[in-house]
Amino acid sequence: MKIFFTQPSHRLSIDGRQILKRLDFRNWKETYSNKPSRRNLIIIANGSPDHIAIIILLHLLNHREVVDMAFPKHKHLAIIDYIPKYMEEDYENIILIIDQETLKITEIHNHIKNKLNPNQYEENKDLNNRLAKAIITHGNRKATLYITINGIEDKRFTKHTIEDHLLKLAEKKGLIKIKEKTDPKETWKNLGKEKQEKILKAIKESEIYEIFPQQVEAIIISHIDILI
Amino acid sequence: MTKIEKIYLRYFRGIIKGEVELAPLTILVGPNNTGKTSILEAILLAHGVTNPLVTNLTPLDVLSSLHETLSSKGLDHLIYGYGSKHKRAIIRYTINSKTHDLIINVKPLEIEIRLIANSKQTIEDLMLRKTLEGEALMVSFTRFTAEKLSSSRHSFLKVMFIKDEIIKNIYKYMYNKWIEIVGKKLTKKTANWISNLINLDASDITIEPFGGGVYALLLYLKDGSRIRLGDLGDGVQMLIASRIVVGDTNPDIILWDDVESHMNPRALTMLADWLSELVKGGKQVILTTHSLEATKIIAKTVPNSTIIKLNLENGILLTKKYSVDEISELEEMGLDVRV
Repeated sequence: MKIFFTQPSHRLSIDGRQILKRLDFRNWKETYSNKPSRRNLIIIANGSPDHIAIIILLHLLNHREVVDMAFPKHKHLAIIDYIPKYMEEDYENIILIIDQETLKITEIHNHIKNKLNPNQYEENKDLNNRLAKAIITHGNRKATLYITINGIEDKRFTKHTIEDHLLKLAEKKGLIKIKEKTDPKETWKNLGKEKQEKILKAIKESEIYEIFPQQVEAIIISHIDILI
Repeated sequence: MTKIEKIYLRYFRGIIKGEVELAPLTILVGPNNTGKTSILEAILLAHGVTNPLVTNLTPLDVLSSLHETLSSKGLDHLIYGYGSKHKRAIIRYTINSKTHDLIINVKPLEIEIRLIANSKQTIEDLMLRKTLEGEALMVSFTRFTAEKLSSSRHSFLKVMFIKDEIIKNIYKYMYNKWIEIVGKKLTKKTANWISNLINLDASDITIEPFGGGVYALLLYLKDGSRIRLGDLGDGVQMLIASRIVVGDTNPDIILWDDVESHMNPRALTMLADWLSELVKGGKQVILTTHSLEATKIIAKTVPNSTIIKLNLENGILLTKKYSVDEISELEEMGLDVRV
């Protein structure tokens, strides 16, 4: 999908507009839109480097549809309260990218169900319930929300974030060795910029569905819903 | 207190159809090319197309000069599609629950603007009427050069239009009306006011010989030294000129295009306080801006202010009202209302 940043002057938007070029992705310009979708939205609930991973996936999946990308100040589960407000701004196809952190996956789903009282809520068991599709209403507005919980089933991580996926890729490529009791955020931060960029570039030559299954599935199914 | 409650536009500039409800202070925000300035221009015409705003500047001149491209000074741009398909544009104002219509009519070589005060007609009737004879002719001018052919002084609101391009006209106006401006103590008051913003202790604004037989407008400092107004920063000049011209002309409505230009947050804060006084005194203020900072400072300072986001989709003007708290909330959600 093509990306429109809903706050063009936000530091992550400025960074996001440069990242594909910096990582030598081909045809990087085609992934950015100067016109908003106002219908499709990706909410990055935990900031960086989630935005980079998602921008790369959107680039590699190469759809024509525009999706707006927002970086809220309300982090993690705090953003759930604001989902109806996004609907008031006409968004009806929303992908939420959120870290698992140290919570149980069921705790995240239950929190969302309690707060949004969805009409339908389907968890994808094949993806260990890390992806769910909810149909929510607010007044006379209706939206489909794709809850995408970052993290992989690897007990060496002390919490689960988008960095799980990046570190797993790095290990697969022989760039690092993941130790027991790894804090993925800290480990990613300590790798340094050069190594981080090497890992991000490696996404290009990888099977993205294997590394980011729930995120890729969310982008694909939401795109199919847009087309329907 | 005379205020525009609502303005309705049909085939005016880039807008096929649109309606905006106006508050005592309205801030228009939105992406580029969504009709913000067009709304100000439509209101400007209520001043009387050929009635001077300041020296050598009428709404007709403003509309012509704002859009002049190469040698084309004409006002065909007032009609959607330059009159190629639609030969008539309508601006409907609701003022104190009464309706006034301005009809802009395109003929092969000229454009005329007619006024219907207390109009009872529907927009559709006005669009379909073949001849417009009974309505008062405000002005007619040539299409491509905007040369005036005939005009009257019909007007139903006193308006002031502020934009940095017209600052030199304001200086000429000040020169021509100097005795009255000084008599109203506007120069002293404005000098004291602007001292709060700049690191200079000013006591007055004067006109004095500048050498070589020429005169200049000067900021007179308490230590006796003087600075030409033109040598001050653009934002300071803008504040001084607008404060004096609004003080002297006493308009019903103040239109300010791109209010943030040249203004740092301190200047914006002072401007917001002044706008608050104007609204309290019964004036209506309509601003356009691309700055969220300006929007928040002004809307938080001025009671009864409304923020309206504009969007233009295939010529249809879409509007949405926001409070300043909603704007801040959207920002925290990662949504910038301007884009």
